[in-house]
Amino acid sequence: MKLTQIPIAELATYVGVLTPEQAQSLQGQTFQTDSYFNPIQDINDVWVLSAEEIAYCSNPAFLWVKELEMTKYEPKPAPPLFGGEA
Amino acid sequence: MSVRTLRYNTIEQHFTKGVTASTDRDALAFLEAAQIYNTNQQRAIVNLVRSLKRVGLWSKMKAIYPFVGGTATSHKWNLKDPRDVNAAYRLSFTGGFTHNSEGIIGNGTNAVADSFINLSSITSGYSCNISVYMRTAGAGPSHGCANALATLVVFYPIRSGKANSALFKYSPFMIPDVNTTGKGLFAQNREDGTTEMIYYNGSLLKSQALAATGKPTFTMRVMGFAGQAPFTPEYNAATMSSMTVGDGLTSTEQQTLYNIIDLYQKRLGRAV
Repeated sequence: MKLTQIPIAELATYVGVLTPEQAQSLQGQTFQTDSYFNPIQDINDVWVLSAEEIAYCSNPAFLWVKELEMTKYEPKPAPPLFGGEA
Repeated sequence: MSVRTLRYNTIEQHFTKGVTASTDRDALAFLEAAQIYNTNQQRAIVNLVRSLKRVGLWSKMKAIYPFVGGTATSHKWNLKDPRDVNAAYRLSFTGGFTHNSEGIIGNGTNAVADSFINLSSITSGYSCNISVYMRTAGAGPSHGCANALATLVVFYPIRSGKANSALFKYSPFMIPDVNTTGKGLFAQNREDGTTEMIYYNGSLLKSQALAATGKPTFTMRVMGFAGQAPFTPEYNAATMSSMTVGDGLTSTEQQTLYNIIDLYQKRLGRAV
């Protein structure tokens, strides 16, 4: 499924799937002026890119991200470090 | 005519007569850097700066992010020092932020900004105030950073239905007894290393004797949290309309700050 096939209301729950090499190539690069790519790994350690970065990308060098295969995002579980109460 | 004068004249050409007559050099420097040409936005910034100076809060601030202009390029600037360098605490946006007239909007997935603020070096003792104006509520942290548990700084406008704070310490977190909507002006505050406070819309939400245990050198993240292991990044999908970082404030100063920020947001038609 490509970005354009996802209903707008569901966009925020999807991410684009990257190879490790693609993720590496995006590090430190901008997808639009003053906005940097931030590839992250999902629960299965697969590199992914947010739908917003893909949708807003206007950098000619990285327009290929718009062709990424999209999948539902499953985040890594956060350790319960922030659960203490006073 | 000096280069500096020429710079200001350039931006002054875009002001209406009323605003130009009462220009403030700090406001002008910001407006020029952020390329703010909308008259209402210009007036809002000029009034914000003049109000903060009039009541003595300007000098207590290290960074002020007004989030005006609607783009990453206009939102990245620190009103206190609008230079395009990390040392000026200019924000660097990474991940899927959305920028519009309401401010910066996180995606809760990977959007976070680095302020390059090292709280360990900019604070005197443990005197610190960090305020965020949240236009919408989100489950994640509005800001935060840590090198280790002892130096944790993090704030959740909403966590399990309640505000949740750590300022220069780890457990226990401070959780106010009264729930909030997660929208409005929240502020973490310490005047010293003994007591932590949370203010909500200028009023004290909770004050508690919680000893500070250390300050982070890891730089402050905005609309999320990042730190050295064992911490993992967290993100927020809320909308933030302004943020300030500075010295600890008294309760009177906190109310004054709220009044000024609230008026600023009203001038921009985005108060909650």
